[in-house]
Amino acid sequence: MKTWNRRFGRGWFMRAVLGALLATAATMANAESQTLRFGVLNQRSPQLTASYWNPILEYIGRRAGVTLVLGMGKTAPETTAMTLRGDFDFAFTNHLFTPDRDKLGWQVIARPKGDPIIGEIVVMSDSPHRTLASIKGQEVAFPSQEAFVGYQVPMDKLNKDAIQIKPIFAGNQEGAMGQLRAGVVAAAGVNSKVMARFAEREKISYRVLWRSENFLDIPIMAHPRVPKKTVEAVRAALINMANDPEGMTVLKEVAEIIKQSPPYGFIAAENRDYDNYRQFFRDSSL
Amino acid sequence: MTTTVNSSETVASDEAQDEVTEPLQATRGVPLVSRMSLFTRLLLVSGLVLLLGGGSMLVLTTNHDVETAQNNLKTQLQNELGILAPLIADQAVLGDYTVIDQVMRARLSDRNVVSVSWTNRKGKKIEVSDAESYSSVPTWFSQFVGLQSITGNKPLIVGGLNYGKLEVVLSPTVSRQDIYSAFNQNLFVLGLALGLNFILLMLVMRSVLRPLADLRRGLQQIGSGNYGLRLGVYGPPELRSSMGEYNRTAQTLEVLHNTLSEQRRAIEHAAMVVETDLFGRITYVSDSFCQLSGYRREELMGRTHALMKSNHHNADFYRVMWETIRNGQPWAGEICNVRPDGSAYWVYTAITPFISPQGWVEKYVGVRYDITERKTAEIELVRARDQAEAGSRAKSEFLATMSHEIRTPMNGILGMAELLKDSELDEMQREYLNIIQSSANGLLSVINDILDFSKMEAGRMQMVNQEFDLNLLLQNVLAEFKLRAETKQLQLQMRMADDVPGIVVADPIRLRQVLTNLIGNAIKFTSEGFVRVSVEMDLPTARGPRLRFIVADSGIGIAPENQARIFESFVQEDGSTSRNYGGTGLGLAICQRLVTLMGGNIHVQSRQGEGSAFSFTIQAETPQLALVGHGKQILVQQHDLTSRRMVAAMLERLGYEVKAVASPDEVRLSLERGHYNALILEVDVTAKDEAAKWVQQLPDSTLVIGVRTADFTAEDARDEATLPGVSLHACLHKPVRQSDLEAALEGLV
Repeated sequence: MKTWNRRFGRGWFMRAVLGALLATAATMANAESQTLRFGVLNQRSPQLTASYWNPILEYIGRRAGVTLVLGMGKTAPETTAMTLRGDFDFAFTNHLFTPDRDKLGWQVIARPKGDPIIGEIVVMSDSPHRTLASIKGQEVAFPSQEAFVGYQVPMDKLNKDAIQIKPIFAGNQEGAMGQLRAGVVAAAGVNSKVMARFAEREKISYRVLWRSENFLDIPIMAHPRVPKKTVEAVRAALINMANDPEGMTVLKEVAEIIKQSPPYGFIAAENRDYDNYRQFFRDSSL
Repeated sequence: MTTTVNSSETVASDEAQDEVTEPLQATRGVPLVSRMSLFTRLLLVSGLVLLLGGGSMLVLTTNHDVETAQNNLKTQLQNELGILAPLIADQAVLGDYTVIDQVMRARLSDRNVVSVSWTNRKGKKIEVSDAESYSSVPTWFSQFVGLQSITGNKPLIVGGLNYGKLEVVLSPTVSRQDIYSAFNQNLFVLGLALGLNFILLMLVMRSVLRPLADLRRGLQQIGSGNYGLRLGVYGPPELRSSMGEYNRTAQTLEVLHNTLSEQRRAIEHAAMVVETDLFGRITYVSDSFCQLSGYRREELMGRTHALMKSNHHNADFYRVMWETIRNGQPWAGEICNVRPDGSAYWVYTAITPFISPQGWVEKYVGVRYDITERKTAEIELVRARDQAEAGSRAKSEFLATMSHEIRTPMNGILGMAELLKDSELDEMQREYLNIIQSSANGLLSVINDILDFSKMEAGRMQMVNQEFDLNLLLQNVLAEFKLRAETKQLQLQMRMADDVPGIVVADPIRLRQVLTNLIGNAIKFTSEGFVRVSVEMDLPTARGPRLRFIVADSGIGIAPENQARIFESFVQEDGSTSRNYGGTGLGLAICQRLVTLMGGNIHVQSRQGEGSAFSFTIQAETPQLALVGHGKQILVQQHDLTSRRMVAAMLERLGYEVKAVASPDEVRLSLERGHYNALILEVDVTAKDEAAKWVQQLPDSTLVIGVRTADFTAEDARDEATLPGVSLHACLHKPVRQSDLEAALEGLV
């Protein structure tokens, strides 16, 4: 004891208490001021993306006791690259289900409410192309090579059907839709939800040449380095957001920006909910 | 000769302009504007209008440009912010500062954008700016337009998150430069417009001033008396019209001038023309007047007519003449002037004042005729007339004297012959005595005719109108011829129309003379049948009743060819008449003159062998008398019954109580028996002294009026107003007239 006392003396205890207090205070302070970067896959322009996500992140951050800062690259591949590089703590992406990326340890924590997403190959209503085969040899716009239902699923279908096309990458979903509307390309590979909203907003009509199986919408994933508590706090905030009047208000406001249809909010999701993604990547011809 | 001025003959415009502006140089003291030429005025006015209009437009345009530039800058600023904000916002979301810098620098390519900056939410500022480009805009213009740099900023809030603030600064330099360039262009256009205005105005004025200069020259020619100039018609329509009017006016003036010149030449051919100014100074004189006056033209010009004044006219003559013409009235008269050699000449002068349009006399124009010969003849005539009148007076006096001198012995002869008749005479002696009486009466008649005719010829015969009883006069006249008519066994008849007044006013003596003559002729030339005297009313005149007397007979008549001549002097129907019937041939001539003097006329209707009818009229007057003598008594003494009754009748008509007596003895007896307010006494030349004796005994209150006998001479008349020792109140002449009586009795009244 003496030794203990000698080693530490009466001041040891005090120092320990003080250290614990300081550590607790530091932890608390660290938790209160922790800034986490939230990467969003490029589906829209950065400004539109920010307009949609910033109010949500502000609400979620406030509820979860963290500061969530929106982050994205100029393009979806750049954003994916940033994600893979570990620039984000959370990510709204479905680019992490390939076998190699699956090993990075990202965990699905939630996903937007609503129908699953479907990949589609669409043409304008007045287009002469009425079958998938007819677009052979034509230029077809895609958001990017990383776009799951926008490129990878349709392109896999085209490859498997041996329909050679000239892919044009527009950078994001609406970019590809914009090129289709402008007549620059004969067809476009799109996310069915994003295309429907785009057509409603821009008042255009289009024809679906091919439709994929259902895939759950893009999930929100957490980097394995984010403390579990924080992850849970964020997940809870996400899931409860639609139940909170304030959260619902935010959701409705941002939904109006991108003409999003109800239901609004997020629900809990897990990695296994996205096994068909993983299956696709294992069987993909790409 | 008519000449025409064409545009090609006109002087150059400068000269024309000089001519037009020439009078201006002589108008010193006149306001500057009044001295400005038409060209200068138009140039000033149009230039001022252009300058004001253009200047205002320039200012307005510049202001509008400035306003537009300001609005454009504001709009551009909003656009810049609107465009840049999403671009910067995108990159701000991504955090790509490089792209932000590139985007901002790209905006500097716009000339108006001089600075773009973005300050992120942490306060870091990224700014790109460009140096102000060089501006050639002068400071005064910059101050005038007042454009300033404008700055705009916009916060970049995306999804409720502030991504910083965007700020853009726009410079007005380029806009100012553009405005300045536009200003200079407008200024150049304004200057160009002013220059064009000057050139075009000069061209227009040249086209206007040339005709005006020609017009002026034409008017100068007219002003100097040359009406032959005709102008070529050119230039603007208004001036072409004016030049045409000028030519027509000049043509009219030339015709008028030629006409006037011809008329003047004609006048000067027949008369002399002298023009003077208001002061009588000669300004024009015709050659004919120079010739008549004996002066050269240069001697007369500028001188007055006093140079030629004679002493023939008095000062009043000239005063009246000047007063007349100075009042603007024409004057005409005969003036005697003298030549330099002193000889006199007469001119009939008609002076006409020329009145200006303003109403005052400008000059006098005298037209003169040489009347020297006529005046000389007139003077000679007057002299001859005076001489003739003197001769006539001498003749009348001679005849009067002679008649008196002849009638006195004739009275003696007749008186003695009458006395002889009462003596014892044998038949032969009595026959001789009758011949003596007849010859003496014939001689007396001839003498009386000659005396009357001489009086009438001398114009000294005057009618003495008085009131008389026409019926009585006719009866007396017929009574004279009663014996002769009975001797020839002729019926002597008298007819008087009922409407003929009994009392008329005329000259009873001359009426009686005419009737006596005509009745005498009728009896003379009628051997059987009748002689009839009729009186009737002729058409009345304003003066009163007009009486027509007709003496008709059944005598030998008068041949038609002689009827017009028988009233001429010394004319009888033919030579045999005088031989067969006697007479001087003066009777009817005297009758005609007497009838004319009595306001009537005489003519004859006759058929040879059947008789004649002499008809004459006289103008009588209706007596209008006032009863002024009521209650007064007058004693009248006249030897002759007719005179006595006539005077008494006149007095009674005046209301007097009259007692008429014949002899002085009866007067004396009447005066002894009663009182009379007046006494009218016949003054006998031979009984003047006797009458004076008892008249002197009358009281002073009794008026004494003398009536002289017809045979009083001029010498007797000198004493007519007096009797020896007696002062007569008045003296009347036989035949006594009503008016004379009234005048003489005025004192009594």
